[in-house]
Amino acid sequence: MSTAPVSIKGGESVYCINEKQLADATRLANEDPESGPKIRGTMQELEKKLTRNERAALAFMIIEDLRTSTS
Amino acid sequence: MAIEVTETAKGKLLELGLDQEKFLRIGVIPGGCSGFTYDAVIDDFIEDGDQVFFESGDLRIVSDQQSAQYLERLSIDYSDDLVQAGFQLTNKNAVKSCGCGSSFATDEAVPASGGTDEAVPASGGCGSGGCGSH
Repeated sequence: MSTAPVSIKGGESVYCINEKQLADATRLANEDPESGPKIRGTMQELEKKLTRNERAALAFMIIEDLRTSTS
Repeated sequence: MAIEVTETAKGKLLELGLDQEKFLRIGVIPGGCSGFTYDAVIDDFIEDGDQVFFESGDLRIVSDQQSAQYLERLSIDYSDDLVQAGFQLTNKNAVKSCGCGSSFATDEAVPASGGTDEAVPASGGCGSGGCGSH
């Protein structure tokens, strides 16, 4: 008896980022006089403290949090 | 048919239970940001028109005739990296792929889902609606 096929691909994509969003984020991080240093400094700290997968998990959690909260 | 399966991917697929009865079925359907997306499932039922395109021990890759043309130069890898996690199905004939790598485009038309012979235009978006684009 055959069973239902099981996907190996981890399900559908959840969130996507378009080119304008990425360009805006890059500009904020690299060129904005107030936000730039804060973002770059935090990134450097995170790269020291967290592994690659931990940073990825943090990024996903931040995106999820931003999408579900209004603050 | 030139399909490459890395040893890591092969090991993970065998862990998922592939054997002489269960095989990996790969199909190509319209979808994703770039037009095509691979559908990859573990299956145990051979349908009319299916062919085995790769066989190595207990690992068999089966596809329908409509999708078979997009298996040429397919590479299957597995990654533990969260950013590119899980099985990575990469088409080396792709002329375009989306940022997450889940879909691709070639110079060919997109096959219709459901195994018909009719080609349909590529669809847009990532297919899930999670980003709210469709």
